[in-house]
Amino acid sequence: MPVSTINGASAGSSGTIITTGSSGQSIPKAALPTGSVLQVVQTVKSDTFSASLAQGVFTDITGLSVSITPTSATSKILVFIDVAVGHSATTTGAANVRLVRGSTSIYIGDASGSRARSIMSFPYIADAIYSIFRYSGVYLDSPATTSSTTYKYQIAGQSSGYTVYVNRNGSDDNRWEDPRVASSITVMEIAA
Amino acid sequence: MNHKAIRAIYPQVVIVDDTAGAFDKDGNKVEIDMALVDAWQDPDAYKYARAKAYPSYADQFDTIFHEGIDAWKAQIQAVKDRFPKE
Repeated sequence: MPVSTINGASAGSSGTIITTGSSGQSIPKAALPTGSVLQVVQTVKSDTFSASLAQGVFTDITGLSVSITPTSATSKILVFIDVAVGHSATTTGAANVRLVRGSTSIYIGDASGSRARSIMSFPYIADAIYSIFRYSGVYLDSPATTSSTTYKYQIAGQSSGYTVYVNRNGSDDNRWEDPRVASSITVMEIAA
Repeated sequence: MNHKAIRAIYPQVVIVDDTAGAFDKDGNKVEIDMALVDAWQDPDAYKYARAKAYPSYADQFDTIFHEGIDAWKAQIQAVKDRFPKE
């Protein structure tokens, strides 16, 4: 297999090599400099989900998980959070969403009494039942593994008497004003 | 899927996903009769319709200030008449 050297390459160590295969050229991922994007994986959920559970009971949002297998244990995983949440209450009620790697909650606030630990809670707002709130955020994770790693969301509502929704509002009349939306979870492996 | 109808007809359901289906608190799948779900009438439908049709609070206060309580009551009653309790 022919091998060529990039003269004066500024990224990576000196002597960075391009290997040439029969189907074209490629740069080995291990040769890419720190900060390079090594792979990107995304899951999009466009149908709807709802849950009505006791306060503090989180459940997986079905169909909103993504798995990535890091090429190196030193790699970072950049997670893009994007969840659209609705609520059955006319005025307000909590709808906490959290990010989970495997079975471990990550990117949450510190424990403090009975307070929920999550990405965001449903805001207090009149006519909340007609609203959809997009929970978003970015988190740089260090899973320290080369095994397949799954990231997902979990959601918990105010109480079993309330229903929290994903990708729709609580009203959801068959009219233009009550939209259906999509949510996603995106992960990038970053060389480190 | 009509999640509210499913919960009303099958009160043991706590999770509903359009693709995966309906589940109870123990994660057991609950079989859904979609004919029942499709036929279900939301008893709160008139409330939602009224809430969307009422003028904003600011407009209601403005009506009271400029036209008086009777004019305001007539405005509100028109919405209630348009979307009656069933």
